[in-house]
Amino acid sequence: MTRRRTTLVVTLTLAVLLVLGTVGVASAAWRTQASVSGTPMAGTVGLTVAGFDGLGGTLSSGTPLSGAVTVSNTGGLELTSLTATVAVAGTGTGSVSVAVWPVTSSTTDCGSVPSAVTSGTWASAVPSWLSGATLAAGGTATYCFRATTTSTSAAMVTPTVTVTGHAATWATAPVASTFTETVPAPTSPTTVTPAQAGIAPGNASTTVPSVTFPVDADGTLSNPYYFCVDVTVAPAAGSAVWSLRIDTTKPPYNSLPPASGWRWETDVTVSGPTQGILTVAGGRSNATITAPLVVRFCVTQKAAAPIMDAGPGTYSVSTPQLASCSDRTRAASRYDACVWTDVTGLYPHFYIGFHYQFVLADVVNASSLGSELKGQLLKDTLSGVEGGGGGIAATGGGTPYTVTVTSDGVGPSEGAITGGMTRTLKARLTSNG
Amino acid sequence: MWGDRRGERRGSRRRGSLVGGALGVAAIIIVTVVLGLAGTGGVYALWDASATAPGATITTGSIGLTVAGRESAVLTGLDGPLAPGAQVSASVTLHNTGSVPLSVGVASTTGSAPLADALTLRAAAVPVGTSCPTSAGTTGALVGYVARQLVTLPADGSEDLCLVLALDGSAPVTLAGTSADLGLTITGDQA
Repeated sequence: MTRRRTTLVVTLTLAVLLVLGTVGVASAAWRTQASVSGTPMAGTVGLTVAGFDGLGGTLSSGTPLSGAVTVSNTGGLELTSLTATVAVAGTGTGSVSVAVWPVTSSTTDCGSVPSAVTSGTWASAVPSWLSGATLAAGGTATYCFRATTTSTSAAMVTPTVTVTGHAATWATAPVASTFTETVPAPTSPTTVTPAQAGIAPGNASTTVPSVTFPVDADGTLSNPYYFCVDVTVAPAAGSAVWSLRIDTTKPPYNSLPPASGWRWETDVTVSGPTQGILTVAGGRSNATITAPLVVRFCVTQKAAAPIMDAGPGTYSVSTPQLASCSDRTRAASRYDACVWTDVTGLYPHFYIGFHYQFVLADVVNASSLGSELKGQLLKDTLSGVEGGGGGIAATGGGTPYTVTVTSDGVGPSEGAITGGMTRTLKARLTSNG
Repeated sequence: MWGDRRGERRGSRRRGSLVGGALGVAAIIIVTVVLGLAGTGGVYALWDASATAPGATITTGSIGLTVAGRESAVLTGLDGPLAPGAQVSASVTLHNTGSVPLSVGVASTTGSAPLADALTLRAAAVPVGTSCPTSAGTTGALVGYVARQLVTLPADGSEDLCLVLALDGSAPVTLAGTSADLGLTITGDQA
């Protein structure tokens, strides 16, 4: 029995080993392998925005603010959409209009507005500014912004524009830009800078903190042909022997000789004029000052109303309009094209000078003329300004071609305006096309 | 006499037992070997056919598989960059360098990592030079991916293995800029 069992166990073991050995060798011999490797990477998303700081500043009727804003994709993925939001703080935020349009270069002069732009207030235009835009990885896009106002009321607009880029469900970190645009309050002609009144310190030890025109009890200057000037002089340091220079050739004196119509209500010593300059010093009682001193003099203009250059805010300028030179209700033609503008005075007490400018391409593109005629008129240059009387100068030049109109403010019949008065000016164009 | 007869009877019983035991062992061995050979299936038939050819040289079959002509290949086409919901694809040519047909499968050796866990792989076999199909193949998470019997390659046959890697559409933005080490084993089993 023992021998038989031993024989059986050995036999079975050999058989099993044989079977397993047979199967095992067969499996190992008939499989082969190769390998593939790679380094898949998730892309990055990033965005920069530059240029909004150039849109901060002061704008007024006829003086827009413009600049280029560049959006750059700094990530490795295409930004398949871009969104812009805006929060606008300040006062009078609706009085500033903005136009936005794409350009091909960040060095583009944004002074000329094409016919198709996104426009509105900062609050309404910005959200649609980047609608439908995409930006390839590493790519940039540049947009021109131009802010304008026709308001003559003070306003301060502080937009915070936030731009975000999207690649599928991923978004870049939002990029916020904040800047402030200011529309100055109307400048009262009764408060001017010394330079506007032709006044400057006569020596280094004198300063001129302020120049005002004293008003009547009702707050107005009731008689535009007779006015007084209060000049505050102060020592630059400690005590000073003060001195003033008054340029009598400037508005509102209009080269009126001191001997004819000037009256000094402060103890002063006057010499000149030499080449139009009066030199004024203190009298015996106040030649040396240690504190501010108000020097008052009054001028009678007799037949001529006084004129001064009070600057923007004392008048308004309408949007320039392209039309026929003979009738502004008729469309312009190739050889009959004028740019019409109305300048209206806002203050009743002085005749004031003014200035404004416009980009010819803006005016042409804003018209309803056909594209062929527009193309011809865009080659035009300024011939001259008509309708404002004398004393109005106009120049044209630059790229884009810009027309600047100024009133030298010499005499009411020579281009200046006063409260309620409107001068309609037409800048005639010469065809070069 | 009695003693001799008893001795003959004992001797006859012993011989009978030995014969029966040997038969039993032989039966076990035969059954076992048959079962064992049955377990080898086609292998047995292949080897058997080669061994019985009279006057022929007995040769074994060969087996081999290459990717892009080598044992391993690096696919830069899968590097991306990938966006959520986007995919990248790359193809590599598989070649059966052996003498027996191969059933080809793909298994991922990619380890778990934030980006790898958000990737999906689709593998499909297409004729050489054919662009990747838009939806065919076997799709699954990259980590742990297995696709069996994608294609059967005849001896000296080739197919393109198309690999499509997709980033999950809900992948978090924290994955932006990260990468993963992708590893795939291409297995060829005798068909």
